[in-house]
Amino acid sequence: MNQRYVHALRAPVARLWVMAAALVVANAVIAPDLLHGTRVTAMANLLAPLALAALAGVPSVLSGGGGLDLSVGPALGFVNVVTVAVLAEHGILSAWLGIPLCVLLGALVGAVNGLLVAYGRLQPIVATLGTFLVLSGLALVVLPQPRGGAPRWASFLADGSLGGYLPHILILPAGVLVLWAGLRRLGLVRLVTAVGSDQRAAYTSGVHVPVVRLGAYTLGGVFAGLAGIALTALTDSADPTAGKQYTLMAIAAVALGGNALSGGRGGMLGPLLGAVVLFLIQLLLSSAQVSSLWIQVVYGVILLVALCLNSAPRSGRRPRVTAAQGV
Amino acid sequence: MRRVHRWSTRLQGRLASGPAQILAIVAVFLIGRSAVVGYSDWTSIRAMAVLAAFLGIAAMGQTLVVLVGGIDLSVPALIGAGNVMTAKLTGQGMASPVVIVLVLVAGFAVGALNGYVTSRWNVPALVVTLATGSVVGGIVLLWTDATLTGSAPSWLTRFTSSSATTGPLPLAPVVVVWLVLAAAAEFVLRRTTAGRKLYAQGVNPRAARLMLVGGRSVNTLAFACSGTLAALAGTLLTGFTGAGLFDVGAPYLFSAVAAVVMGGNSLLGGRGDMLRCALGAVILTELTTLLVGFSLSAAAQQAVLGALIVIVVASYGRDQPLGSQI
Amino acid sequence: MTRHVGHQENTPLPQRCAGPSFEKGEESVAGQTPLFEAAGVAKSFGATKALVDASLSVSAGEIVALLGENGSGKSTLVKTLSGVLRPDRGTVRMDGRPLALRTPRAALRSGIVTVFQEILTAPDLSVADNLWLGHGSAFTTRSEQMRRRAEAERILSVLAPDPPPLEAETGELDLMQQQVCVIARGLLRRPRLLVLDEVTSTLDVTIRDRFFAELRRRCAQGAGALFISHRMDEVLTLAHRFVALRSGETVGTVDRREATAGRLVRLISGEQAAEQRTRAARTRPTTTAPVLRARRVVVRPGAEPVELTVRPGEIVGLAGLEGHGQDEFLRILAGLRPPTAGEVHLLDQDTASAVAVRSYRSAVRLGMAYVPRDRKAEGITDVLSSLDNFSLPTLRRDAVGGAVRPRRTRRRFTTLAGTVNLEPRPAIPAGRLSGGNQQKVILARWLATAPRVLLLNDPTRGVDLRTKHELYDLFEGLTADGTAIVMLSTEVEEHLHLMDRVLVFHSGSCVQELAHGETDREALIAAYFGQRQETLVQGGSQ
Repeated sequence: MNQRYVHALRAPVARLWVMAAALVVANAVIAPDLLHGTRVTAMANLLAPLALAALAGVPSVLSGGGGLDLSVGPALGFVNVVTVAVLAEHGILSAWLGIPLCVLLGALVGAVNGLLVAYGRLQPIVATLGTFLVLSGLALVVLPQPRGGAPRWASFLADGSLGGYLPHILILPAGVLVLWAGLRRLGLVRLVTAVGSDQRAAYTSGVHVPVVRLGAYTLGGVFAGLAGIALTALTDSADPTAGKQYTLMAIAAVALGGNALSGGRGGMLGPLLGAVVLFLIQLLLSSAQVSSLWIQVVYGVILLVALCLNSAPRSGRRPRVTAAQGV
Repeated sequence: MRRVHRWSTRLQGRLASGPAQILAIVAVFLIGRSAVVGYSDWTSIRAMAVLAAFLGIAAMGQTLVVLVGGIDLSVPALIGAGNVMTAKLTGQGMASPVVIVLVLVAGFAVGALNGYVTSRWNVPALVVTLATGSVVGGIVLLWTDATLTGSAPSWLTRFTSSSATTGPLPLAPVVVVWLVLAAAAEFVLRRTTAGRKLYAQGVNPRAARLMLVGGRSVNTLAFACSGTLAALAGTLLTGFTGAGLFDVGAPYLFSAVAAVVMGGNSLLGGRGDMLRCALGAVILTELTTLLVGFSLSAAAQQAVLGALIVIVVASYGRDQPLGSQI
Repeated sequence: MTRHVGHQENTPLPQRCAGPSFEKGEESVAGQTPLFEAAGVAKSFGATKALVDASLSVSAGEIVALLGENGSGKSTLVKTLSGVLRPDRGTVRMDGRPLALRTPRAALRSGIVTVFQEILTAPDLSVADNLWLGHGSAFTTRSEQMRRRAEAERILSVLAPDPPPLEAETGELDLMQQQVCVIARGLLRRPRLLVLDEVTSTLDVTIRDRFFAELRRRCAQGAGALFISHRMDEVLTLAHRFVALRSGETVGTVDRREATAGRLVRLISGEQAAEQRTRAARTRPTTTAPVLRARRVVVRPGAEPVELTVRPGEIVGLAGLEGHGQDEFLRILAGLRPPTAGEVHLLDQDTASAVAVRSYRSAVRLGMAYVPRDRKAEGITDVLSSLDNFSLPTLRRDAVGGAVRPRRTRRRFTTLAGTVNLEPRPAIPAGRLSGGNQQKVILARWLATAPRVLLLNDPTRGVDLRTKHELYDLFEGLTADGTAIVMLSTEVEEHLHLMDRVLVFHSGSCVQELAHGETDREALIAAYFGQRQETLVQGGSQ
């Protein structure tokens, strides 16, 4: 067992820790008030949707076959919109009802993706591009203009913190990690990895490949639902176009986290750190008062460099032929 | 005469590989004709042809990248760059040929960078092109301050006007350019060493290397061509938009990929061709126009289009069942 | 129940029934119904009939060899039995009860465990996880995990003297160890019927013998096995009964006592052909100048340097247990791998000048050609046509002003297809050809470059018997025309009969060089283990 953890902790994640630490220091030097309690909460709120979106992108990628969930962003945006424009509108303000409904909605979106991919046998990019468009469109149909009116639990998540340093919002990503650890312990993550690693080997060994894939996409949907909750908490309102931007950032975080986009390899920690690194880069650029026009350029360059730094070939491993090497 | 016959039989053979796509084109057209007033009018067909040409040119580059097993998300940024460069440089009084050469060289360079980084460091093309796209998009923003700038050369406006004709053909010159480019690309893919190399690299990079035909150069070239074609699409779009706008390429982020797939090409690498790509661009343009014709809101259009893409691809682009892959 | 469809006049073999009256010498079966029975199985793919009427039975305790050329329907039958394909017609029974094998999962549940020809592992999973993949409950407790690991370890140690560690990532293992993993995965499921499709092709002698012993033990305990191999020696030592398929039909069943290699070959091919090949020792060309020279090549750190000089017209064999350096040596010759020390030179015949091989590219340019071992991963581009697969390295020759003239390419293909005895079907995707025909396409591809030295990495792996002999004839024809061949082989027979000399590798060093006619099976295998047999004439190392 130990050996395996050592294995998992090798290269990419370790380098991400270093990058993240360096970025925290750089941020602290440029903006020394970074570690004040209120700023920590504010930053946790900013980080949470991105981190959760990255985690939401993990299971589909892990399940292989060119697996990729482009609909993560619109899905979390749609959850945000529904929370305000449908749930709050119909008086569902209780956290005990609202939060499960949000998660359920995310799961539903994930399940549709999973059905299209696993049983419809569509290429994941196509299937999730379809849901991407449908959800971004629907969000605008449900709520043409951004507006406030989020339930109270949103501000509870956003404003509160345990002991002044542990923001409530971190419950969500922590919950995801705990859930994932539980699934790993039960051996279900291994099934997803097996399918993503070589679906034909899994299939001939008696693994029910479509069910596993459906499960992976649904799980991703659940995480996207949580990301939607985090977005609601962050904005305390609903914006039908806010979600979209998270898709590409989430995928970048997953790739930066060292998960193979060809499937079968990677965990949750890498993408989470990847999201943190992406977030810290943006934070650094804005606190260094780089012109907002420059941010996009510098961001791209840093992402490119980080990718290349984080991709030194693993030693001793036979190069594998994956048809979808680039995707 | 025999030569003509040979060409026509060969063309039929090619078309036989895509009867579903052609059926889809006809079906969508007939639906549009019966449901939307003026859909099958000559003017509307010519307008659709122009739109399909822009999409088709961008999608051609995407096809090349998909053939080597990658994907290019820097297309919208490069379209925007091509568009803005053309408008601004023309506005500054530079001669059109110089402008076009500059634009194409820039597109080529960015694309080559994509391909080189992807294959040199073995990082996913999706993220690499996302990053370069961000850089290019940012530079364009900086250059234009996010405003509408410059102006299109007047010849380019005529070139892309849907009411223009090309010699005796009742099609805008941009459509003819697209068709010629597509045919040329198809020829290169099928009949030149470079084209065959591209397929080998896409299907099995290791085997390609042992056949001395694979490697970084093939990848780099495919991405470079994609960059060039995206920049060209941007330039041509200037004629259509009349001025340079940084985010004119935004709709092409996914629609270029969608056109590739709706033509029946696979994203798996080494499986696909330019004819299908062109058919895909036509289907997608038809569908978009159809939805506009139904006078749906932009949001509803998007939602329905998403569903339609899934339905169309599901009708002929499904993967093989697992059992047949053993 | 054996049916004699397509009964051939020229195969007057005693056809025995596998029913109650069946006897098998030392391990006779008392059961009334056979353990497993398939009757009248048919499967078509569009217009191609892969299986027309396949029938066979396996009794408890019995190992049945399924024989047939490539394309005879063996693989389709295996896929049907394993639940990967659904047959169009026919019944499959276990203990007399009909089975519906809809999915691999269903087949595994009924006790039919298949080990496929292609090594199917999940490369990112650990060895232990790969062994238990899809088996047992997906939910596992810690104690269950420990039990599983113990069992995996036990089975691996039965098969391999030096089993791969349970935590190792399967993708990091070499081909043989991966093969061991998939066999172990099959054994782990306690199969009632074990279907083994060409699973020994990468195993070395030790592991193969251990596996056969375990297989016999399992069968003695009441399991049955359906064994497929193109290696006649394996089939003859292992099987109790032989069932032959030809063109999708069962054409005959032979009992072990009546089986000889010749008879089986006749049954498979339906011809009176192909006696066991015994090759007259040729006079080795010693007068001509050498074409390839490896000077003090060290394969891996700590190994002895290897010297090799090859003259035109020679076939030199590289032998050894899997992973002992012969594969690395061949790759070094091809420029695919830098040697730890030493150099490889190609020599010009006329000027006798030597040029060092610095890279694969330079090797090819200097007149070498390399045929890789793993056809699917390194040899062919499966969705591209046979013509593309043939022509890619030499395509420039058919280009006029940048445009390829397909007719020229096709003409060249037809010519070279004739040389390698391949029916030229240029449009067929290479992935749909049989293994033997894929190999012929690859050979034709490299013969088109008119190589002076042909480096072959186990070229007859997974190739049926008839094609093997065709390839042997081809290699002899090539050497007669002055091509030099260096060939790695995992088959002892090839080293004994085909090669002029054999270099035996052990632990990265060449421990012995044996000349044709100076060795026998025992001596060769002893050399595999690093032992020299002093009774034999040693060397041949000039």
